[in-house]
Amino acid sequence: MVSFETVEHLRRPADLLKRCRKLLVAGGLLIASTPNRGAETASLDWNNYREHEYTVAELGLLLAEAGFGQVALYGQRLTALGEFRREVRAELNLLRFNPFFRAGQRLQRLVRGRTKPLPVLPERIGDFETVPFENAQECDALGASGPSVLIALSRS
Amino acid sequence: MGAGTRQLGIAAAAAGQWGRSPRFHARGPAADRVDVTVSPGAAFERIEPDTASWAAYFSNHIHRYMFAAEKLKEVGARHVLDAACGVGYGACYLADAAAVTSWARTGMRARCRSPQTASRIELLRGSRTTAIRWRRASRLAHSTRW
Repeated sequence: MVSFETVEHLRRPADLLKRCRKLLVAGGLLIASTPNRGAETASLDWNNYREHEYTVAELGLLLAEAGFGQVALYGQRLTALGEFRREVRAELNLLRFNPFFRAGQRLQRLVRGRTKPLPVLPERIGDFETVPFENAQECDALGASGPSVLIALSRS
Repeated sequence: MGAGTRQLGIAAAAAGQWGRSPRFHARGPAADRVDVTVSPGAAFERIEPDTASWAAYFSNHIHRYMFAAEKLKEVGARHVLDAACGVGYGACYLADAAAVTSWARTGMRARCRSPQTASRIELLRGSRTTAIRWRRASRLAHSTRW
């Protein structure tokens, strides 16, 4: 069973996880992900869609409460190249505030017949990597430089 | 139930219950529903094709699906339920590992990139939830274009 980026939207996420555990066959696998509250990219302050964001320890507790005994933890983060591309993208996006740049973009759209501007240096699948963590402390200790997304593989 | 409260029937979409009626799949028996309370007016954080968020986050999301497909292959999974699948774009990637049932509360787009695969999916609608069974999943084609 797979459920990505779901539990942070729920007021009672344990209900969902318990249901998942009940539905899984014996030895079945639940792969769930949620944003890492400890990471630099945590967004609960401005993201109204989310009820709660979890640290690794909190996610582990939530899964344990739902009855999942064996949990393997992974983190999704940007590769070094992905980080570089993100920084360049941020700088390029600043150009959008320049009126001459905006006028040029509009002209290009008229000439090429596009109605929407193309994204600047869009993320690629290769910009990301998934790394395993031995335990919650190892991941939480990374603080803001930790993975942006936590992925838990839990056995029923 | 107050405003912002929804009931979800994920059991209905669970893999392995393929012989039941579409109505059962889509809604599920009351006992199998999960009470899910979301913030009023803030029901979805979802990426959809042809939007800025799609361009910005598609790769981020698909990377997770590729990772999941790899792990599911390792354990020899036969059926996979993608619970809260958004518009359903992850199914093609999970289909590498197993037959997939995608499930979302609403608004799923029953498309999988090509006319060949479109004929192989079955859309199951309920009052509040939607599920799609992706048949002959091993033949689903990969593509990042919708």
